[in-house]
Amino acid sequence: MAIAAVPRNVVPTSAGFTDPVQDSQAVFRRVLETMARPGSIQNLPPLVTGSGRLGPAAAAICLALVDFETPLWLDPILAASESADFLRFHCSAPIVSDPQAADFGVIVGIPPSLSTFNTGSDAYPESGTTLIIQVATLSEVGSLILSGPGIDSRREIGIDGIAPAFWPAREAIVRGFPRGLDLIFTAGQRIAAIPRTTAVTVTQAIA
Amino acid sequence: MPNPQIPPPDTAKIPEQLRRHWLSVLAKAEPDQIEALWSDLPEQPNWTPVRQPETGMVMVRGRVGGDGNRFNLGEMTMTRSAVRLSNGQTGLGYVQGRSRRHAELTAVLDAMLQSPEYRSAGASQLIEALVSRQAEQRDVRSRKAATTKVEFFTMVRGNG
Repeated sequence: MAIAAVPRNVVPTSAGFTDPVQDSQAVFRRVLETMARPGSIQNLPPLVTGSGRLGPAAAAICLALVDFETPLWLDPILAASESADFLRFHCSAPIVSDPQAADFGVIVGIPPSLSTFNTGSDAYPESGTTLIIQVATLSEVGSLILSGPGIDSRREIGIDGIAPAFWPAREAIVRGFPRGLDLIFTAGQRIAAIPRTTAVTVTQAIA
Repeated sequence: MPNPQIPPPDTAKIPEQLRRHWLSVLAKAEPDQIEALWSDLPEQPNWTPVRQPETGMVMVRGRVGGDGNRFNLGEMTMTRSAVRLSNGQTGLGYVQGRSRRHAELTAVLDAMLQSPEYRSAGASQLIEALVSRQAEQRDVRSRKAATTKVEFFTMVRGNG
């Protein structure tokens, strides 16, 4: 496992959870909720402020899900910032430079090619990377129509700041089911998940 | 081990060895001792927790004869904490035992000793007081132990 940088023992300026047990359970419950009902937007309680470019919801999800056993991949914007110190300190996670080795990936900029991430194997599909993608806004109306398990016929969602080419690339990856990538989008305190089982249709060109 | 002197407040960069020294003194001090000295400080800064105090176990390792193979001596209970002072300086505390207050005060004092404005305001004297207290206790303990010392010697049986 390649470690991206020599771990520095830096105390970040942003605080983690006030009550680690209760707070991570509260976040976990909402992540579970949106994973079970793909595209449903959940509001996280204001538990943490985030750090640098890493927003409050993305930071809270990392604090709840990531620990010393889950290698974490950060996009280049985060890896070079104080957010990396925040995640290393509070999650104790090894930060890796190889996306294939990562259990979780955090993206705040333009998503890289999804094919670089680990999609799991047919025997262990759950070992694939879960991506936490921070976007500008998440809304109940928008250009994406979701369908599949956990959705009663169809659900609309607007995800601002994702290039149109992202969705066909995702489609190509989840076609290898049970292998695939699970995505959690965050914006401010809001989160919405699009797991690998969800079919995404783009209804109009995204600005 | 000689006690390194805590540098004057105008020193910008703290040598790692010094920080290690005061963190070690604070980690091994009795929580009550720190508390008493703390309440005597002329100026106590405001702080916010970065990491709430939490108690856990660490594996203590030793080396055979000091430089041989590493072995696990056993686990011990520790409490750790991290804080940020109102001036932005952060500090860490790792202490023995399960006193959350001890870990938090250690982190606050670590941050104070790293910021020039607080180092002069009693924080370095606090460490020196703890050092002399700990030296005293060690002295008493070794004296008590010395009274139980048994000298073994062999009587030479005379043959005449």
